[in-house]
Amino acid sequence: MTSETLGGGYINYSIDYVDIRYESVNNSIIRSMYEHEPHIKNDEPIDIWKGGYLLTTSRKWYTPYVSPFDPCPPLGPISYETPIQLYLGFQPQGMEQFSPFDALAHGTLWPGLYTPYTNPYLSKRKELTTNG
Amino acid sequence: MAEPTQVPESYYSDLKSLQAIDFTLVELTLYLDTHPNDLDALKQFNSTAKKSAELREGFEARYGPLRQFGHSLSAYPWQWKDTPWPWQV
Repeated sequence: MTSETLGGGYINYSIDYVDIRYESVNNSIIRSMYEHEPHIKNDEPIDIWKGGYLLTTSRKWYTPYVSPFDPCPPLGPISYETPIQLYLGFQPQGMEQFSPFDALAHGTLWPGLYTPYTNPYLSKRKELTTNG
Repeated sequence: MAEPTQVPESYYSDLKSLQAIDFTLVELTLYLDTHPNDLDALKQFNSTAKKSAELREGFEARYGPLRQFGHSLSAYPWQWKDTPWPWQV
């Protein structure tokens, strides 16, 4: 818990998919947790072939909370990348390697640790420009 | 004023080879920090380090010194008077 506010503070934990709501009743804090299911939609891992290597990305999306009085509301949904090493655990020995040139270009020696980045907002921008 | 002479095309490809080998060394160093008992990786590290030294010596013999303060040798006269320096290319 980073910031606990008295009197109905609202914290949105998008990573855990859990909203934690604080309610102040008679100066005592009752914490109630709500699981929100459709809050977040996760893309299926996308298979990308690049330079003969199969690469998988895992991109997730969340919709930020927007106050009805927000003068400059954020655009949603917002995407974030979960790089492959988060799911790998301890790196096993003898993983397949890039050639030195490919390693330099990819920023890692191991294809299994490379996460490609494609612009998730590109399709959205196209819509924006075509709609004026 | 005379234009400074440009380096040949091969300067860039040779430097890139050295850069790629040195990046592999960076990766293997970090890997071995967490996998000190991986003998294959250790062998690869040592052979890659030899390859890097070999490439660097060849590069410096052809195009001049890469590193300052005694880490690279110089022919006579002092080669650092000649441009371009490695950080200018």
